[in-house]
Amino acid sequence: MATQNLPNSQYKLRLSAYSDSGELGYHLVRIKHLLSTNKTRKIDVSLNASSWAYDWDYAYDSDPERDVYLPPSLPLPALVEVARFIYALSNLSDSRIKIQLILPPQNHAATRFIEKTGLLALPKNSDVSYFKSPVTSSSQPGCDDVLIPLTFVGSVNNGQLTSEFHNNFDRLADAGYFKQEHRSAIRKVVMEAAENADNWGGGGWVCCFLRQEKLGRLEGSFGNLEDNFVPAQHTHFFLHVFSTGAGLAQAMNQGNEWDAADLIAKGNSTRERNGGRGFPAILNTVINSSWGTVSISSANYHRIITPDGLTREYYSAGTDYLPGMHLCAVIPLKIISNIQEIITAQA
Amino acid sequence: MNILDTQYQGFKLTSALEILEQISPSSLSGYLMNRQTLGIPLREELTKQLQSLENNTLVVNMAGVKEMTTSVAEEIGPLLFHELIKHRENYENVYLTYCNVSDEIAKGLDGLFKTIKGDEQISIKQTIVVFSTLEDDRFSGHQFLGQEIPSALKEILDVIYKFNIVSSSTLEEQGIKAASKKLSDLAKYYPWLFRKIQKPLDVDSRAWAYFYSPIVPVIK
Repeated sequence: MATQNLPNSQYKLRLSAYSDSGELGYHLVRIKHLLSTNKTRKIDVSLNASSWAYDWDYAYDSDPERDVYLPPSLPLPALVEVARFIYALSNLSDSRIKIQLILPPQNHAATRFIEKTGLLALPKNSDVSYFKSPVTSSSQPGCDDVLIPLTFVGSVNNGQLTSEFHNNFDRLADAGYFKQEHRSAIRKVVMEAAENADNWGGGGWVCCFLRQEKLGRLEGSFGNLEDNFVPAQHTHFFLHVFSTGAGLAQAMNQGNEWDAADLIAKGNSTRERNGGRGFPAILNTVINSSWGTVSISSANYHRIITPDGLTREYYSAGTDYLPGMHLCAVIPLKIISNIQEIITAQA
Repeated sequence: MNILDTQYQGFKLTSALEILEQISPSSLSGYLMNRQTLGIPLREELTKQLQSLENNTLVVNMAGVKEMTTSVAEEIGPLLFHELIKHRENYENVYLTYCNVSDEIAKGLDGLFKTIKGDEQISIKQTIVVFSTLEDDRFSGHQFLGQEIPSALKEILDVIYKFNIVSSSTLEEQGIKAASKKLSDLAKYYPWLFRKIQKPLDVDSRAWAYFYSPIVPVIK
């Protein structure tokens, strides 16, 4: 982490493979402080997000022993966290902030995701550049990217997914990117997750990404499946929900983030009455299936549960965190119909 | 027999999407989410309409509703049904059904009616009848959703919903044994699923009999 408070108020922020959400929270608080101590100061935030995303990417892609598909191979969680940071900065509604964002290489799958989903809402006068690397970008044979734009769900649209979202979704379905049998289930899963995003955070963002991978786990065994591509199995649906309001502990009425993450992982929902299990049920089903990956990030706590049975927990140092939460499920299409069944069942 | 007699099957048709147009214009895509901003207001409006009835069936027209989250489905499904049961304590000839229900919506409602528990005061079998189509004020494609109806009783309901109006003798003709006993059981446990009508046997006759009909007119 390298932070400088230069005379012209340029604030440099270079993320690395060791970055985390806590680091972003620290910078957010620092920037707020700089703005409040000098009312005329303008701040150019130079945010190099490529390293965080990029290092994760190649660290996993180069691992020949990898036997399960992990989301860091396409570093979306990292970039969604960057997006959450930028939304938190934008919420300051301060015209003195200008952001210079550096993304991974332009042809990188993660960059394409960022740009096509419209994940980043940069303040006026901000701009984006791309990291240049001699290393070939991640583009495995047979991969395909299907994108559903980021959608805000909150009071401005009465808690509904936009028509644009549904139109794009229908266009992708009609184009045959996924089987008709999965159409209803995918949409239902997104709707349930989006409803939670709104309920928990007083407005939240939802973005989805469908990616076909040649890597994955074969039923009953492990191994690299380069020559054995099964679309339903190796097409993963990335579902990200994030907010910049309450953290998980507050939303779940728990004393700490760890306990709240526990409840979420078990599928407990805070929804009113006894219906609608929502996003927790989705995450719980993914965990129980041992087929997908779940990531839960809130305040100083981050938990990643992968299909190899491992649970990784990270605690950020310090006391300043990004507001809100970020939940992610990476779901193989083969289990998405099971999820649809479960989210309508009683807890 | 098999008289198509709609004077006993009056219904009020109300469109879910038209109500939503007033409540939440942004949900007109037909994909309904959010209990607070949409589910509860929609259920409250439907309840108001239900409570204004004394002798009719409220038909919620689901045309244009493509998908609902479980919280919205719970509000306009089981929770609205509980309002019906309460209202029927004073108005036993008021009924509730849904039409233009897609397979997906039916599947979702079925799951919720099977699982959502009612108020403590209401301990009834949570079963409802819905229709896939409505054409010229006649309904078709009925299916019963929610808690399973015993097969002996469902058999009778299916005949009623097939012939539109039947007497116990019609049921006997259809090969249903102990029809009177089963009709009594139906009236005891599922009175909101069919109408029991006292009718004269002929225009000039003073003799009458009980007939049984669906809660809305159906296509035979």
